[in-house]
Amino acid sequence: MKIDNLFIKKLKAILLYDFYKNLRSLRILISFILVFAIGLILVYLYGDLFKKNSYVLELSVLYLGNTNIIPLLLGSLLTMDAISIEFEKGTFITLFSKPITKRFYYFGKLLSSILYLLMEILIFILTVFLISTAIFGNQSDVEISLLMLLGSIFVISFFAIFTFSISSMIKNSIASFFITFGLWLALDIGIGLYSYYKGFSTWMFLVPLFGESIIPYAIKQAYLYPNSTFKYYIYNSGMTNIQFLTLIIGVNIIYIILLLLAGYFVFLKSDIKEQ
Amino acid sequence: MQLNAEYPIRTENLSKMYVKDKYALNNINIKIKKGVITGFLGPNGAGKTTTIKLLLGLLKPTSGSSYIFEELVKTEKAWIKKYIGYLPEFPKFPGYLTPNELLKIYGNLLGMDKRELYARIDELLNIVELEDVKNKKMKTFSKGMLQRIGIASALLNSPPLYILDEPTSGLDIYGQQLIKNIIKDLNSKGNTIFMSSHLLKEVQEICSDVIILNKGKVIWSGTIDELTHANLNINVSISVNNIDDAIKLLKGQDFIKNIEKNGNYINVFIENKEMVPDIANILVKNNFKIYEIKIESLNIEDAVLNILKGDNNEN
Repeated sequence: MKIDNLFIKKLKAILLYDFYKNLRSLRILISFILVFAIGLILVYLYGDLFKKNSYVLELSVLYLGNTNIIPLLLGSLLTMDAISIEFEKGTFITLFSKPITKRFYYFGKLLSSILYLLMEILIFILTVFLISTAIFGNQSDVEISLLMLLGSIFVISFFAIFTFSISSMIKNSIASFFITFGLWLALDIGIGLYSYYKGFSTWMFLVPLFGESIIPYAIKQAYLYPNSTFKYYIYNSGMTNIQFLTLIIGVNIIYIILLLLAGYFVFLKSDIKEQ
Repeated sequence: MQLNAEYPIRTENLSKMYVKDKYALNNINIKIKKGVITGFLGPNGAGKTTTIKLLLGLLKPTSGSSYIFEELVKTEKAWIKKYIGYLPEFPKFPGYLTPNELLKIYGNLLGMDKRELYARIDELLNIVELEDVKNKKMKTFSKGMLQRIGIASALLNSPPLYILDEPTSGLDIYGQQLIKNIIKDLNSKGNTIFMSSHLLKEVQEICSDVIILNKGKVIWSGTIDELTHANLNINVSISVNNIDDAIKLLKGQDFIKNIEKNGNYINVFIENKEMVPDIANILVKNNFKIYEIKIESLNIEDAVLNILKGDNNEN
């Protein structure tokens, strides 16, 4: 792909096109306010317990990425209509009458969604950082929280990409969200019950929409104790923290690539017509 | 890309099937002349919008091909659309955007220079008379306002070819006149316009060429003059004493295409007005009293209906 002035202009156009949609969507605003409000309440309730700024940050980061319901609220609700809205509202005809390829549209929308997510997360984390600094003062070890934040961003992005890919295949916003939600719920309940009776196994952490939630914690462990064995409650992975993190990140990157390619090729092969 | 091509739009055996074994478009071959306004006519479901979407690469043909300025249309060749101003039937735009934001986004997709784009947006919103609402979100806009935004969007980078799908639908008389004037103005600058319309009088008023589509096939193409000469009759309504005898008398005349009784009148169908004195002479010579003669030219609607009826009867 040639990067020239025209490319930059087109990228700016598609980023703005999607950014305005997200910025002015009541659904996205409400989901963000909800996440934001619950996060701040948690900080208020538990921040005092730790008495340390970095722990408050860490708690916020875990809240974002370690629960899976937050990635669903932030990621999936954001991208459920990223592609399909144009087809549901019939606005795709006028957009595609301009010189824009399906590839540019698909990846442009994806990039725009991820950037929007980053903006939301940044607003949340900055707010928590400023509030907790004001209350508890400056703290050390902030870098651990920031590294874990990368993990949380990865988890939220995974949910966003999952729903984005489904949405570009079936071009139905509501169905895309509920497919993600249904799968997440079924896997969480199924694996939860299985682990209750049989205990945790490594494969469980490789199941999409379930295993990603361990990533922020795994990052912390790999940063602090790279060569120790990765353990989670009574689960013992038998791998070092670094090995476990590499495995889980690697597998999820493969999932992301496969999901994006599947969504892209189905979208590419379909006619541009009303749903 | 040959911007001076004799035919800015050309198709070769273009076909589209949405459902297996059912053609929405069946082997159509059309050529749109450069610098001409061509009307694209046909009943609902004839395949007009499908043809237009195929020309824009929005749909993939089942077989055959289409060319824009001699460039083969393919979905991935999006750059071709830089040379086409397209107005869909009932254009829809994201309601969360303002006309100003929308046109800036489209201008960037078209690679327009920022200063040129901003000036052009102001100019176009002025032409379509929407400058007052340029910063209002489009979710509150009426159908007519959206149609005007659609026109502004099609004209944004002043392309040499315009494909307009029912350009005046949803507009009031004033809006229709505004759009017709814009189309005429575009054509006067040498641009090529290919437009579908249900309003046949509008086509007669502004188009030079016509293509008629029925059941996915081109059933007639030519100039407006050819359409009217080949398919139009003159209807002469005559009021005489003793109508039945007059009909018997006129039925024997070779130049009369058809004759029928219509209340107190005889409707006589002939090819041109010069035959009217001959009819009058025949009646007078045979001692009929003529009370009234009304001459009525059948319009383009009758011509197109005749063609469609002929095609439907053949099938």
